[in-house]
Amino acid sequence: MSASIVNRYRYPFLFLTIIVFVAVWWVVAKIVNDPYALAGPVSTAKAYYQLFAQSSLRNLFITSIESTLLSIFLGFVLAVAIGIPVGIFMGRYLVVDYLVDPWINIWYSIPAIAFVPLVMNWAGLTSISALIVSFLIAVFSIIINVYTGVKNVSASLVEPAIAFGISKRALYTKVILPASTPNIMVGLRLGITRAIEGVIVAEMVFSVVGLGGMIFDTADKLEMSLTIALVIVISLISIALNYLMKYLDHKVVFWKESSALKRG
Amino acid sequence: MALEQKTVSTFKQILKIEGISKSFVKDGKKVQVLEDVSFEAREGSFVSIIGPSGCGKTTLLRIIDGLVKPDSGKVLFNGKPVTSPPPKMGFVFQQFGLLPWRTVRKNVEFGLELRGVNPEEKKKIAEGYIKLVGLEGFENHYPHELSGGMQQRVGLARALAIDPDVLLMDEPFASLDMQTRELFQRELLKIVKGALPKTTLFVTHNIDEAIYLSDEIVLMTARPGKVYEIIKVDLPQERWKEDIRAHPEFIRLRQKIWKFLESQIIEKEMGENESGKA
Amino acid sequence: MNLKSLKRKWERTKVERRNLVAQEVIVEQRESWIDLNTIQAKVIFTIVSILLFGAIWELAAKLINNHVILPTPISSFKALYLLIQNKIPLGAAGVGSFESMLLQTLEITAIGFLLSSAVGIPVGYLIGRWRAAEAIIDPWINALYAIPMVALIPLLYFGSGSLIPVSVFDYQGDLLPDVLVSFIMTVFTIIINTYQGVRLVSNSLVEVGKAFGASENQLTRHVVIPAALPDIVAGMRLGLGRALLGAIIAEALLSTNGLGYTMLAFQSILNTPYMVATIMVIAFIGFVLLQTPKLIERRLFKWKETERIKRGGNE
Repeated sequence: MSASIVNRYRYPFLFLTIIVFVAVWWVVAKIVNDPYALAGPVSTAKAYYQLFAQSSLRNLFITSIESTLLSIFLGFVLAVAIGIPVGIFMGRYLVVDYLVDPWINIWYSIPAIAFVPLVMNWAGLTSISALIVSFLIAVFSIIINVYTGVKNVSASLVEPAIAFGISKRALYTKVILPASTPNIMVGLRLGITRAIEGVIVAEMVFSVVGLGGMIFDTADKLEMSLTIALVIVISLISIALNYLMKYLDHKVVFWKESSALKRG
Repeated sequence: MALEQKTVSTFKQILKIEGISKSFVKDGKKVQVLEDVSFEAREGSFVSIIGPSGCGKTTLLRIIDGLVKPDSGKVLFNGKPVTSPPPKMGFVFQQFGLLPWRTVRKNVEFGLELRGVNPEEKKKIAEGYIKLVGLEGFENHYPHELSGGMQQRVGLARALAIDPDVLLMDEPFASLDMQTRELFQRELLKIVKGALPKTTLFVTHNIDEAIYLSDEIVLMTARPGKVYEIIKVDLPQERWKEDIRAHPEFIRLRQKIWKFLESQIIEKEMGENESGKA
Repeated sequence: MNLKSLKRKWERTKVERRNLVAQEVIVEQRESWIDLNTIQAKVIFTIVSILLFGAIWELAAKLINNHVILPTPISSFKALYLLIQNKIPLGAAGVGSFESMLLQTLEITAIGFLLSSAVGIPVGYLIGRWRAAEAIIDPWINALYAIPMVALIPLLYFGSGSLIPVSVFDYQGDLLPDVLVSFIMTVFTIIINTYQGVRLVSNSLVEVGKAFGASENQLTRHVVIPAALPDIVAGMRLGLGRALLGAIIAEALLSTNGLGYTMLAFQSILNTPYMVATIMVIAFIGFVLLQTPKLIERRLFKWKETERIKRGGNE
């Protein structure tokens, strides 16, 4: 198929689709004509004004964003710091591999929210709990991908290194680790997306902290335009973080076409 | 020429392969790949190993480099048995095996880096070899930006950079197109028979390539791979200077080797069909 | 199996692993890697691993010595047994029978999943084939993937009462929001994986089809769908996990029954053994839902060299 007009002028057309989306939203909201069911774009815009103009609301909004972002980031950073070494360790030592492998699939199959009540017992309805949830979710994505990467480094890269008399240590630092970076990046990309979701779920369950809590609370009070405004904020944060990870992926793994990500 | 002298006047056996056997387990069945393989290589000579696919020639080359352990037999390099890859052997791989995150120069430096050569010297040596293989100006390119032929030039430069006595080449030109291949063959000869004399062991399944390049051809049978015959190639040295492929001896050898390989392939196919029936 | 031979086998696999390479390079050799010895060793190690995990858990629980924070494995399994026996502790408000909570979760998961597949596969297919607009579809797909769909739950729940009259579906009214949550958490996963599968059907395959004069219909039936099927099925497997996650989240936030609600109900009365027991039930369902399809996929798509571990479970 030849390159279409749409593909050639992607940004104008992309902008157009956003306008169409907002227009459809506006029309549907008009038809529904029920602010509790669906707030339109105009009332959502007003909600943003409210968010910034009303000082009490603004303060709540700012502390909520702070708490959410902090939970996501610290949990994620902790997951990276622990997940990467553990993944390498598992890929490297047969004993560790055999001992941990049965658990990885089990842990990985547990729906994330199952961690939430347990964590609530540990740290209460706090942002610390959300942080732990973020960590627990991200760390498994990272471990499993690092582990897969380290284990499946192509023999066509390892063999020449051995032929050149590489030491065991250098084999890891100079060949296996760099060769696994595509997998590591996949782990990080999946990890951050899930960590965000996990933190929002946890905050909604707690309903007193973070953006998730604020979303739940405003919806509970049927202030739907505020809810939509906040949902858009968290969505934009998510999209931005995803693009950031994608950018990092391309930067780090510049030498390889990044393989299609399986998205769960 | 001093270099010529070296190849002609010394008859030192730099490599001695003695009674190598190797089997693998596949699908729970033992498969004998190599059986009692013996031959020798004189210093400075070019030896090709040719045989039908699956005759274990690639495995043999890996055993010679100490990458794979034989079940029995041994490899003597300068009189010493090989148990792990010796520092004075260079290996060129069929799949190039370049590290994709390293530039051409960094790839060529790889072997030197592992030997702890200091950065300045490393860079100087690498640049010399990059020039030798004709990649000047591509030092800072990444492998994925290069054609297959160019990638294999990097592979060759990387192997030469550690200044090996023996160069092992595993079907290095198999994935290149015809023209690139012939060009590369000529340049390889110019290097290992001229500028930088090396003893070369070359695995191939291409008859012309083997005759064109070699002083000796080790002809191997189908699985299990055994040495069928060692053929001396009685063609002029410095073969890149004339159209050697039209030489009567070249044609004779080509026919002789092809006849043998044909019989081996037919035998193997028949054997496989029979075992399929059984 | 005696210990000596096991040790010998272990030593052998260790040596094999140490020489990673040399051994691994040659195809014949690589096959031998997964021979019987290793599999037997693996079984033993799985058992050891489980026992070890139990021991660590027990030890940690003993050290912490606070059954609210971490109950011992024994008390947790005891609670699991009692839970299955329908012996619910006093004070756990509104917790139904074990069958009813299990059935509700499974029902929401199943309906959410089926609905998502019914919508997601055709949609993903159509936008995947619509090459003319891929430059603008891609960013939307990326965005939809990035957005945490859970954030939409309050909108759906508190809004859906007036937005969608329950009678339209004439389905057990109280489960409708839960099903919607499960649906919305799942459908994009299925759309995206279908879309990617269809998009990645190699052009050369399509060209071969065209060269043989295949009509658009035939192309769809004989080339695109079979080639994209592994990705579609992998997407469905991930979707199954998502549907379960959606069901549990919906129950936790909106419902008064089901495993998700029960888990939090036990939390609120600080009965951690029962809570852990409920989590174990959820984990078990998750494990079965995600691992069984993997086995089927391996048989189904032998022709495709799929990575053995598809990343992107259901977290």
